[in-house]
Amino acid sequence: MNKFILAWAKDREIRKRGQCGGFVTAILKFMLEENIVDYALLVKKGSNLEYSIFLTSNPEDVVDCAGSVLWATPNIAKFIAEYLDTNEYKIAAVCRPCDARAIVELAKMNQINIKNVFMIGLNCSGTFLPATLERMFETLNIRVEDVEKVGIKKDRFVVFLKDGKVETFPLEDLEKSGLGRRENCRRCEVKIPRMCDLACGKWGVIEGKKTFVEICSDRGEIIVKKAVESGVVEFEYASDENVKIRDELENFALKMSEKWQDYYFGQMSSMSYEERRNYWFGMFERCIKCYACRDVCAVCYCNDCILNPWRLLVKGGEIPPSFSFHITRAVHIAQSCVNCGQCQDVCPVEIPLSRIAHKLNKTVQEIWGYIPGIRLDEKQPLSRAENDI
Amino acid sequence: MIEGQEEGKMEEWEPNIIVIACNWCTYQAADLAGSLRYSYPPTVKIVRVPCSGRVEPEFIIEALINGADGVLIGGCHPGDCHYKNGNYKALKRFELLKSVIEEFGIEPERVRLEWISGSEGLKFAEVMKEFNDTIRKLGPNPLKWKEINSV
Ligand code: SF4
Ligand code: SF4
Ligand code: SF4
Ligand code: FES
Repeated sequence: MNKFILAWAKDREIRKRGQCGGFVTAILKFMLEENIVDYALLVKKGSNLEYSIFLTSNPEDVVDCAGSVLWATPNIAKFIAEYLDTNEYKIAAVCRPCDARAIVELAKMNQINIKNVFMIGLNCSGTFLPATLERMFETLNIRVEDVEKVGIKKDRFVVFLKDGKVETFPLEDLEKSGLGRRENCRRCEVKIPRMCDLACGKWGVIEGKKTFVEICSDRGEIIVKKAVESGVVEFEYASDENVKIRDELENFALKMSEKWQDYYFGQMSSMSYEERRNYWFGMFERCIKCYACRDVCAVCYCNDCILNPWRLLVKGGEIPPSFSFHITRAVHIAQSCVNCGQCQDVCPVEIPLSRIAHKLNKTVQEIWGYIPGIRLDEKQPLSRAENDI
Repeated sequence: MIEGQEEGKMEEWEPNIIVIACNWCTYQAADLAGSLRYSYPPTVKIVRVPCSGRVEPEFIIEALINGADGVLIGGCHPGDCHYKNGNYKALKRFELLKSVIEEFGIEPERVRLEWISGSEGLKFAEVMKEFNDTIRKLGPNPLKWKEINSV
């Protein structure tokens, strides 16, 4: 089978409800029906700007979760590692590139049994915080109740209204005024999740409701073949034109990220040592030691974290905590940080935590050439002890 | 105000240097330097660890935050670690730690890693002198958590 296909659900209802022809929905439903996996892990849209992580073994439920929700930023990898036993049962998870990368990192650290996690990846141009979206709608004079869904098309923010109208706005202008995508998404450097079994998206589709699927693993190919044989999914091979368009869109998104990286990281690098201290330690003095940044971190997992008070590095009852708290955490996550932005999202005092974590990870990439969450068989630099002096 | 930064007090400031030394090499070298009468600055305080691979980044961070002006880790030469690869691990962590503290605005020259074997008493004394000079030039560590916290 060719690596690149355009596929869609055969079932008319799924095709209608799913985004891009309902391929992802059809595959998930198929995997549950055939007992290839025990559970599917999805995101379910709530009313207005709500969403929830949804775990189900019922194939019918999958259809209700069709369509991607751009204001959903679930911590899929953490959810799996924390609440699911991947040694006991098999799951299929729908993930964005950062989720998938975190799953791969956690698998390397033996926190997830990736053999039992089938990853269906979605291409991603970025996500929004619900609170920011609300403010965006306010400035754009759109009522939240009227919104069906939102999207990103190249450099435009697209709002699909319930009455069928579509409005678009320049994303860059919104972002320069402090709105727009989450900060980590702006800097994100993986747009197509090729570490998944299947990488799906609309990039590269020229016309019609279809999903461009890149088959990235052997088991991914087997599943697609089976689904086609059972008549659940239909497909055609992607043409060179399809592939070219997809490459162009990916590169466009990567260029945008590069610009944002230059902006944020350039600012940080141009600060003098004194300015850096004033900036970061000024920030850290606001910390209320809620431990949320540690608890949500997609790549933190230690059972007895060194930051726990009984480990004596961080004194119990002291607020703000000693700067050791932040510097230690920074050292610990630097090699594996996948820039998922969860730490920054949860910080109640709004410290730009993912900015420093991502920048430090860039340093790791420079020193050891290691990019986290890309290849399962590539060991993390600090876990390698061979002599490469 | 951090001690030593006040006007006129500069001369009184003495660097506070912590050396985290592997028991099998750098610690022995310090001993040797002593018995061979190679003098090294009295500002140096030695902490003994079983191997440089025992040095977690937290050790260095804690030292810096609690008032050390410089931290030096001493380990066995590559290939000579008694636990096979502790010093390679130390080197990796050290490289990372250096970039991290630099990002937060602490001069990376305040931390140093050296391979000093048990027979290199002279090297030990020289490295300490050199490091002491470096730290003296850099001045007091601008980051002393306790004092910041008590303001
Ligand atoms: S440090 Fe922050 S951005 Fe990096 S993996 Fe952890 S939660 Fe995600
Ligand atoms: S902060 Fe460090 S010790 Fe704590 S959970 Fe994260 S990696 Fe583990
Ligand atoms: S989330 Fe923010 S306030 Fe809470 S411990 Fe982390 S840095 Fe401090
Ligand atoms: S025993 Fe000296 S560095 Fe490992």
